[in-house]
Amino acid sequence: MDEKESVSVSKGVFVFRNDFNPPVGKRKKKHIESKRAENAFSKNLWYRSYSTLWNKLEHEIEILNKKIFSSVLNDLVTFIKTSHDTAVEEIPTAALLTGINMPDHRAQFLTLSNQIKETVSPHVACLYSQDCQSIKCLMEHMIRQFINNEVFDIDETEELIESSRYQYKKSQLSLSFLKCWYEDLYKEKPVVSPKKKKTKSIRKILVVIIPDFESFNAQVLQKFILIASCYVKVLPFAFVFGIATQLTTLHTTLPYKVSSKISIRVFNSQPSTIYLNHILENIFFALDCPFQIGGKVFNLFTDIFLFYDLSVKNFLQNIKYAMAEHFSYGNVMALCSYNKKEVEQIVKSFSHEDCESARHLMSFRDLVEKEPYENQIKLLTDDEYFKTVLLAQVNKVAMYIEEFHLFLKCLLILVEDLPKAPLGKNVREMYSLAASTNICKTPEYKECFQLLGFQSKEELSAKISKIIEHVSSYLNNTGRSSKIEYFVNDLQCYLNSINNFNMTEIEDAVLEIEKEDTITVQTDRKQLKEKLLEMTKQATKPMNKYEKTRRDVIECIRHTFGEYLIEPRSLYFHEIFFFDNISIQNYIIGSHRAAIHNALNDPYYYLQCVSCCETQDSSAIKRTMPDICIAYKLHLECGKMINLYDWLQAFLSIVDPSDTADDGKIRVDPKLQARFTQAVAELEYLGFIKSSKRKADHVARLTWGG
Amino acid sequence: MAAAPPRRTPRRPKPSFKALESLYITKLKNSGFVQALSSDEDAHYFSDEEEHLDADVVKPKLLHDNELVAGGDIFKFQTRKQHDGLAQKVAETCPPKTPHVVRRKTKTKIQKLLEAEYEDSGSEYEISSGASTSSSSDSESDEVESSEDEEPVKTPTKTTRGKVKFIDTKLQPTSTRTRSKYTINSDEYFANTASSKIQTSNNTLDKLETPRLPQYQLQKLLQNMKLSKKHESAMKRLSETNESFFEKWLYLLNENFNILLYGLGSKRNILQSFQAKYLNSDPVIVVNGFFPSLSIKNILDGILVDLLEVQEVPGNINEACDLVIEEFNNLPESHLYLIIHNIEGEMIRNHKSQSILARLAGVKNIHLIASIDHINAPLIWDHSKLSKFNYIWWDVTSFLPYIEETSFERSMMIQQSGTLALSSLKNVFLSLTTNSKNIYIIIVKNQLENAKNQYYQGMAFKDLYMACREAFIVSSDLALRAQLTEFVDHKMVKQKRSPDGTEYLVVPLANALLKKFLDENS
Repeated sequence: MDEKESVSVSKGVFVFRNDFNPPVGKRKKKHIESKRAENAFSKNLWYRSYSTLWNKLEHEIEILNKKIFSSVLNDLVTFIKTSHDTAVEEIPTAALLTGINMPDHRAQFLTLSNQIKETVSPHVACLYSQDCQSIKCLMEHMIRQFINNEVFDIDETEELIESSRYQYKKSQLSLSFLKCWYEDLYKEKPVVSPKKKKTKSIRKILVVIIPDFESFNAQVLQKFILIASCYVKVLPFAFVFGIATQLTTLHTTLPYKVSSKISIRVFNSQPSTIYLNHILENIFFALDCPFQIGGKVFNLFTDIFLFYDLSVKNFLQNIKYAMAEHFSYGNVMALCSYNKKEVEQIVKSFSHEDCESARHLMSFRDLVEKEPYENQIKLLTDDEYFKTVLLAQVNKVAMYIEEFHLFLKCLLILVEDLPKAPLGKNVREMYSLAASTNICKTPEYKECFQLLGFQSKEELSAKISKIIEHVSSYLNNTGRSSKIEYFVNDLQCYLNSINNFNMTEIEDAVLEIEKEDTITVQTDRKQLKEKLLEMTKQATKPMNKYEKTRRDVIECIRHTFGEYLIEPRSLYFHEIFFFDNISIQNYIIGSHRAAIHNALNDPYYYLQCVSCCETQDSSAIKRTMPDICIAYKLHLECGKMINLYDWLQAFLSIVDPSDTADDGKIRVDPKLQARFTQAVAELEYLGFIKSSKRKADHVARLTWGG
Repeated sequence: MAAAPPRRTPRRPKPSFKALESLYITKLKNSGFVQALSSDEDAHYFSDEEEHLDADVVKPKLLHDNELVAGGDIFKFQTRKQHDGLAQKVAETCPPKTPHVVRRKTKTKIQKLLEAEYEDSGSEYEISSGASTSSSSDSESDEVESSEDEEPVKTPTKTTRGKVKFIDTKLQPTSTRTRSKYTINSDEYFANTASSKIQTSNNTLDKLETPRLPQYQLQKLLQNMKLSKKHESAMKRLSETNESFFEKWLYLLNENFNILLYGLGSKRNILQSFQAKYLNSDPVIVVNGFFPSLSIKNILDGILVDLLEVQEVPGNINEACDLVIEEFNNLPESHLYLIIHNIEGEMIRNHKSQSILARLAGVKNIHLIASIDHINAPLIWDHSKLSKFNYIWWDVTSFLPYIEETSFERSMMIQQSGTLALSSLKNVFLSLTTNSKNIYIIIVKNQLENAKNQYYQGMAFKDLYMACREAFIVSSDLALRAQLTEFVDHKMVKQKRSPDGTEYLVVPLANALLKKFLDENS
């Protein structure tokens, strides 16, 4: 059997079964979830710690998602709940402005439909544009969803679902059918569970969710609304439209005769930047995520987020990729954990190879250089000694990260409302700075502290008390007594003294001082002048008590920050926790065009053959270059249209300068012609040229770069 | 309401103050009294504006920092090209101390190009018959010895012809064109796009002894082609590096990422060896996206019918896709690997197919490995599709020739052999009745007899009818028409109606093929 063949002139799809057996007859309806698919990597230590960490994070994100959407969703759900309390003429409609981050919406609408199912009504249909090319498809989809949902609710037994699911033929599903079903359900009092009896008196609302309003066919949507409005008396419909762009699209898609049938209320959902901040603060900057993204990579991800798609889902996928990349370095990365006992065990279990790979980390070099000579040898050769050092350093880094985030948050509290916000208003902006350089040495940081020096008493005391609250809650959680505690105590003292100042007293004191200085006796002009000069010479106005305390407290804070907010790069083995390999950019965004451009213009970049392809100037041609490069470079010299004959001649005289036959009918070495033909075909295939009928034997150029 | 018509005065409008000022400044400068003077206001105005722009626009911090190639290099406006650009390039490539022959040859070429241009300016659209340049090729040999210096002399003659051209015929190396800052030169753009004339020489491939290579010969030649040793080893090295990532791919695929391969060179080999090495125990579906009659339905059917052995396959592709997703959700233990060579292929690049593929790729235990080649391929995905695909992009530049991929293309350089057409014709022909066969052969013979006739339109219907009656094949007009419909349906014959109303029948195949066909069947 020639099974491996996958080229044919008669078909384009090839199936390799590889002992795959389709499920026979009875299909497992609900699979056992606990059994996570074992794969080839689950033996590895790093993979295990990677997957446990990611699964944990994924779970947390899910919980957080529900929380974040809850505020908007609650409003929406109450709106739908109360929409049919009074008799309505128009279909109540909620327009949810979602923002352009389309990939995130699916999660949002899924939570919405679940919430509606739980609290308002079991009848929810979610219609996506891809399924609703025509009004017929739309109706079928909607009605099937309504009816099947109900089946789920009445009876949970599996066979019933199985049998009733495809019970109805597609052609049967019409609105009049839905009407009969609905009336059956609520009027004839089916004898089922007691739960049902309670609800049957209240006719439940039929909710239709349309998550991607813009991509719907306008005609289909108009017809659907018109038809549904005819039934609104019997079937209590309520719509939810997800609108990604602006509310005006609603008005432009629906003409008056349609929009008059619905009464719209607008709901705004949070912008995705806030969503991102939430996720970052609560999950990745929280104290239980050991994996840290380095400054450069973090900047890259936020850039992609802010300038490409605004999608949190993609942002999370990028982090996931970064994590996958990080852990795949080897077992050393399994140490990326806060659990001290676990770390200890892992270090103990390390083999010689694992130690070696840890020694290859860049920061280990710095560590070795700092040590005295005997220790250097020991570090490099003695695995046991190395392990103890490694363990100590890893614990140190873990500790550092916790404190780093703690004080970063404190810094944020301090500077977020400063005029112009030199350090930014979000944690992510500050994190990206602090993770790449020593934030305390940046000009922005200095500017911030200058500005803090002008803060009023109320502002400052509010901030300090917030900081105290934040730090002490951290201390309570971890139960660690340390230097940080002293810091809190100091702050508390300052706070008390600030609060005890009576501002009027201070002002009085100021006035007194001023009185002493005021020019009391004015004799003559010369004296006055001298006096004034003297006053200007006097350095600055002596500070009042508040100002002194303010200076002290700021100095104290600055000192502490300087101690904890150092850059991660200065720590040994920071690579275990921080991932900062910017080369992942090409794997996330991809530079398809640039790669082709480079390969064609400068084949040396890829081939690395010194003598035949290396050139100083990227536009130069060498006859030893690959054919397609030569053909490409020649085509760059042409205008809109390229004469194949001339192109071929130019190609030939480069590839084979010795060829001299130019008499009459020109003979071409078929080999060379074949090479040229193939190069042209490939360029056409890549989309640089296309054949043209405007002139005989001409092709058209499609790009202008080069 | 007789408003007086506006008076036109011959007076020139008074220049504005600004203009006066600048005029004054230039005068001052020219007179040599003042070295440099600039209007203060102006400078301030501009610098303010720039600062303002810089302050307000938030720019990506490092998104564009480590790009391989700057965007300005790849995406440019059309620039005016010199007509002898090709020849210049050739001259530049071949070192100055090349044997005499080479220089002679390139010079001839330059000559030829220039001369062709002359002709061109007269008749832009005329398709040259090949003979038109014969006179110039005669003169070539005479002028061969002329030195390069004479070329600039040519320029004035051209300008006198009233065509705006900037021909810079100095054989100056183009290497001086350094990469300057990217600026949009709007004047040049309009100058280029304004005229739709094609300014190229009238040479055609027919001047060659073998204008086009037939497909089979091309393949044979390419197969025997040997690359230089260095390139061969370099390409081998590239492939080896690419193959070293296989385990990583598998790892990423298992983490629900999908892999997209890009870069110059065929990616079939690498995907095949990945499949052979790592995907032996799981079901795999290989799709050739470049296959000219592929459809998304084929792929879904491949999964449903051949793999899952589902009895009833829904006709609607969305429903079929739903079914696939449901089936795979129920089989969490098995993994399907979907290998798509050229996911941007002609037939599946449409929105519908891509959204189906995106949905499949989003399923937890369906893994997609795809490759792209077309330079604009990434444009087929929007944000929501990209997020469903969840690609990891992988540069696997290999410089391998696209042999399979281009074999389906209709290149201008390849002679259309039509072996496929011939074999399909044979197959249909075999299933015909004897009478129909004879009718068809009459048409073919007639066409071959008239092979020399340049104005042959086809066999007139009434001629055919008469011929058939004489051979006792048909008895009525109607019976013949019934036969012809069958031919037309199978595209064995084309019907044409001439202006005078006569119906003509033509076999849409090259005469050489028809001859072969006739030899085999009569």
